[in-house]
Amino acid sequence: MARAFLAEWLPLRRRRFVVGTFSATAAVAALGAVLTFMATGGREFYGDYPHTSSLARPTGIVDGLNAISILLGVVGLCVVAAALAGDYSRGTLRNQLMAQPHRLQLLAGKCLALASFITLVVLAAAAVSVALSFVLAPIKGVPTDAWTSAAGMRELGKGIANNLLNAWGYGVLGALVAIVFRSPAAAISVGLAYVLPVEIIVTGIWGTAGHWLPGQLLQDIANGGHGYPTTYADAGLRILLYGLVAALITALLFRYRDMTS
Amino acid sequence: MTSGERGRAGRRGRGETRPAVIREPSTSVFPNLPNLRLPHPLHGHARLPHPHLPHPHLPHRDPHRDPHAGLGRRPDAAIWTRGLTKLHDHRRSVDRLDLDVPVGALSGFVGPNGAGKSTTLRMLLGLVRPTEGVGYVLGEPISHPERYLSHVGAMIEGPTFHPGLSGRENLRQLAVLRGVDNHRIYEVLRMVRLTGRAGDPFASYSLGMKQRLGIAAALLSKPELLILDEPTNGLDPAGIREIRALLRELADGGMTVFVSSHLLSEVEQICDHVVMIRGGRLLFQGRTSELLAAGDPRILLTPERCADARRLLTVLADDGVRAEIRLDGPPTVAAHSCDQRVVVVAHAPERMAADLNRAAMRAGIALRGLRTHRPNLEETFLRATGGTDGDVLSSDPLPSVQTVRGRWAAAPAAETAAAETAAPDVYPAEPGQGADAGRTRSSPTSQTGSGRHRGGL
Repeated sequence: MARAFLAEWLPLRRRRFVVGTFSATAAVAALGAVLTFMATGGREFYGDYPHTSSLARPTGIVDGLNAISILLGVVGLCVVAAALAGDYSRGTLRNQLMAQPHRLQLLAGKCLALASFITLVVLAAAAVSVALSFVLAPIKGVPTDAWTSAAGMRELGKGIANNLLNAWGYGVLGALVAIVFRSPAAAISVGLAYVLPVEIIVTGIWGTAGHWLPGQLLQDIANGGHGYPTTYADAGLRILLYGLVAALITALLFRYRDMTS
Repeated sequence: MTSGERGRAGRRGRGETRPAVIREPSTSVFPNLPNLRLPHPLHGHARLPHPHLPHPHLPHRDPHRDPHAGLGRRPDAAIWTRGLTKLHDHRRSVDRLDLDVPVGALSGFVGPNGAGKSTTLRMLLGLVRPTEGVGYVLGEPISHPERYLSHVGAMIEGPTFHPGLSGRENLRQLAVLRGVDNHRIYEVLRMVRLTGRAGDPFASYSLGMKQRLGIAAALLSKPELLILDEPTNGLDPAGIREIRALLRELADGGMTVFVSSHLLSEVEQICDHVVMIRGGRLLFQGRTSELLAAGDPRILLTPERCADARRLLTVLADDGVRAEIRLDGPPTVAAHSCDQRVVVVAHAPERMAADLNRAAMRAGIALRGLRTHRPNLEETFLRATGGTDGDVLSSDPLPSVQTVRGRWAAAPAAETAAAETAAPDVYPAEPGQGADAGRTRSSPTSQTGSGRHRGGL
């Protein structure tokens, strides 16, 4: 599994891929922080808008990061789906399976490598968001004393961990659709279509579904359970269950399906 | 100790001595080639004793689950399968295939498009699970590819690598997975002469360079068994020669090389063993020389005078040699110069050339030329597989074949079968004529022997 982990990092380390992914993430993180602070005291935005007082709390340090949690999830889904489905569609998985015939070990190593890459992406987004928050706070008159306190650091840690869970959750979904569809385009489009319009429409029509749909629950977790009807613990438990089922299906398909591409 | 010797020693060391396989007698249209199986002229494969039936050693139980189920495994086979079958949506891609590829052989794997070559290779490499049957690679069951794939190098269905990585990085990824050190990457790149471009992205490679990289990847682990699918595809003549020499060198070093190719001249030149399949079924496996020797050797006699051709036919017929008259050369040659074009084709082996020459001399016929023609692998392959594009055949196999079958019902079964598979659109052979007569009549200028001819001369 360690070999599979190291081998998977070789394509992930490509300069163009790294620069592209981290640039996009940094841009999105900056956008989230700027919009969060620019909207302070402004018009209502999606039924809510940040107040200077709320941003001044210890949790304010991660408000900019939480604003882009869904985009970080999308990045996680796309990276995993593109990597795994790309191996199928290019035929490179064939070579890898001949070099490492223990299929589950290969899959585990690849997923670990992708999870570590997603972790770096989230950390980079957090760094950009927090740094920009410190720059923008004085402009909007937001005190940052609470951010640098121990409580602020705890909130920062919790916020990063929650966004990591969120991105990993999307990554699990990405792995599932990649193994099912074996095509990057199909996997990414179906994955995104499900977590964005489908879940949003279903939740809009039938609000209770928000308690059970995985995309909604991941958003709940990313935001630490704040402002969502489902409690953090319940959301976590349900996401854990969904994640285990998705991982099981992914592993079984990867292990037993013929490698025909 | 060579890798092949290591493999033999390793397998012996496992202490699994099994009884030798008893091959059942098979029917062949090539009288001296019992392993060649062609479809019956009327009933296709259905009437041929299938190589899989009866298989006294093939158990009804699944030998993968029950290792003592009576399976006989050839100790000298690098690849050994019995009844290997793969169903795709009720279509048999591979149909009860029995392979025996000896250790240390350079074996060619040939068959038309859609014959099941790639599916077979995938099953041997653990990528696809067989629907039925058993197989062993380097003495290990194909149901446990992890036991033997570290000793197997393969490139199937072309070279596939990450386009954004350089050739070297692509190899490094596989080397990391296999636990091979970086020095070996340099070695294999040097073997395939790709060191100069190893740092360039794979996407920028020509097809020939991609092929070389694929072969390099297959050689990474210093395999005992090398499986290559169309390794010379896209290579220029010099590159083909290099790869040919490399494969020969590897085989001489004890490595078993199993190479699938459509370039039959390549297979004929480098392979000492050949496996021929069609429609997922085995047509022939054995030494290439056996297959070629079992073809239709001919001796072409050119009488000095055109008028002697008919007499020569009679002389040959008296000696029991089937022959025919053909006109060679362009038809634009004036009629009075037919001496330059007439050739008597005797269906006889090369060793009879001197006898035929003497017979002609005794009859007072002077020969201007005498040369032998031995069918090459391509001719034999086309004869055996039908000479039709496999994709076309598989998509619409029945009408043409069935129409032709009926016409050949009266002809000798073996030869008719060969003729049937050779060219479905040729004229049917008349009673007393062999398959070759039927085939050659596709040329309007040929005349059959036995002293009987129509027109022309």
